[in-house]
Amino acid sequence: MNRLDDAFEALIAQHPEGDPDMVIATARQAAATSRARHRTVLALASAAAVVVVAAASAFAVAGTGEPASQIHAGPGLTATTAVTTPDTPATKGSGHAIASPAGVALRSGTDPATDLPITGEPAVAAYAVGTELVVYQGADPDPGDQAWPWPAGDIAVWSRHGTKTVAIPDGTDRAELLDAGTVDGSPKALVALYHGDGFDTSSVTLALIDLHTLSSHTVVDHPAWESGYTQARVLPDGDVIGLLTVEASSSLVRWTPGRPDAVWSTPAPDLDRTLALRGDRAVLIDTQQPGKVTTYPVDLATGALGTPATTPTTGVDGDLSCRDWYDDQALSCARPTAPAGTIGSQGTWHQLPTPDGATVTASRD
Amino acid sequence: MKRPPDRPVRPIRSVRSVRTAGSLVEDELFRSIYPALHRLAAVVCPAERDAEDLVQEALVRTLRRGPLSELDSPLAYLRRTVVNLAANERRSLGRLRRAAPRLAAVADEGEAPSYPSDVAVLLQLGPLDRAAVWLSAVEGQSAEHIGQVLGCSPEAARTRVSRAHKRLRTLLDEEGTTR
Repeated sequence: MNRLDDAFEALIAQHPEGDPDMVIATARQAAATSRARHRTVLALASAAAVVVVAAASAFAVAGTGEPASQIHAGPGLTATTAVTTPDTPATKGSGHAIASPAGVALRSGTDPATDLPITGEPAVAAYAVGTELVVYQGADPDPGDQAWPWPAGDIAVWSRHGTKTVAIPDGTDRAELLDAGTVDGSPKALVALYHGDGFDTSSVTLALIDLHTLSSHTVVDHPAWESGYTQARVLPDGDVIGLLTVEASSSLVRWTPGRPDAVWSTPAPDLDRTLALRGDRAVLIDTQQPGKVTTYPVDLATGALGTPATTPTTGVDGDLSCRDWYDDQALSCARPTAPAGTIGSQGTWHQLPTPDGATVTASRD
Repeated sequence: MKRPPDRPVRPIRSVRSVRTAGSLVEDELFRSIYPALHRLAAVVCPAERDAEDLVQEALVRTLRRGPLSELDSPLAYLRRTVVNLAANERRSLGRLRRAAPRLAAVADEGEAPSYPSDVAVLLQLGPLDRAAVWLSAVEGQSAEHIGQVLGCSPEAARTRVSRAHKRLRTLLDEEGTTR
């Protein structure tokens, strides 16, 4: 036995083994108790959501002065049924994937005690599809003086059967995980693949990757000299909308897989907007002005931007990046050096129990 | 020095009385993987915590999602959960750790656990690095397996192992020169 073995054995000796039968019996009981508690919380939350939705809708109409037709109702606005059976899976949006410098976790509901650790490696993005599949990408562990982490490393798919790494095609210089969702009943990840670095040779491919088979399918491929996608989202029909930055301008573009021309393209107000999508409810978001958040509804059929609504925010300051809906009412927002949180329709900040720098995304169904 | 027990006494009799045939199979499965799981938990456990707590917590989180028998590799899955919990645990204890720069140098011998110097050096590595060194150098696991436990690709696991060994060598050298 060498010095290292001795040191480890001395360390292990500090922790005497227990009785495995006792460990599993106690764990089984704790797991059962936790599941029962979670079901109760879900039922209460669903009932409470009905009241909140009604109040929020009233505020939205009265507060913005917009015609009701411009208010994009989320897919869960009419959901009034509480979870009543023990085996009902988590309701849409009740699960969240949390990516942070501390790794990736899958959270059921809002209780951090339900967190299932997926990896302890720093991660820049994570998306849960349903409750048993998570796709994530590593973050540069040494971001230097950048406020936000830079995607680095593999894109991995976690399930209860293990973790698989997405094979990146040869010749790809950089891959970036952008979104995930269910397309035609299959879980897919949306990635951007960057190739080349010259004026004539650089290009970017948006591709959908099947999370079961890991096969990829190109959505669109086009030149990428000084351009790229800051964000993109996959729609349930397989189309993709993305914020495409070309040199000093930015556009919101909708692509259909296999069609070289965009379905529509709309100039974005400026470069610093972010995009959140939930069902058929899409908004461009501006958090650059301190103390307020402005949202622009996006008509997914035409790309037209609706009347912007500006709401003063309370309880938060500093850098914010809102790139997802947390639930039907609130945006999910990250902060570079503080826990993530949500901004509701009245602008109220609610901090979430996450590590600093975490990005929280609602589970995709 | 033996660590004082820091776990509350747990009820045993009442939960054992509800065993079913399925749970007996699961008990047997868990019994078979427990030693290897516990050893890794002891390796990655923060000094302030008990390895058994890590094992317990990992098992609770796993059972919450279904029986162990549904997993392709229960040991690998639980080991990974243990490592991730330890990494999270370490971060949450970070503030406390910063107050006491080195565990080996804690002044109050009466309250703090004391460690042989090499163990104190090991504890200066993060849980992921400790797991990487343990799995590679002691267990002799492949990069694929190490990646599975650490939640990264085999390539990233190789890098992690290499860096962890380098850090350990540096710490041992420092420790050797200050002794």
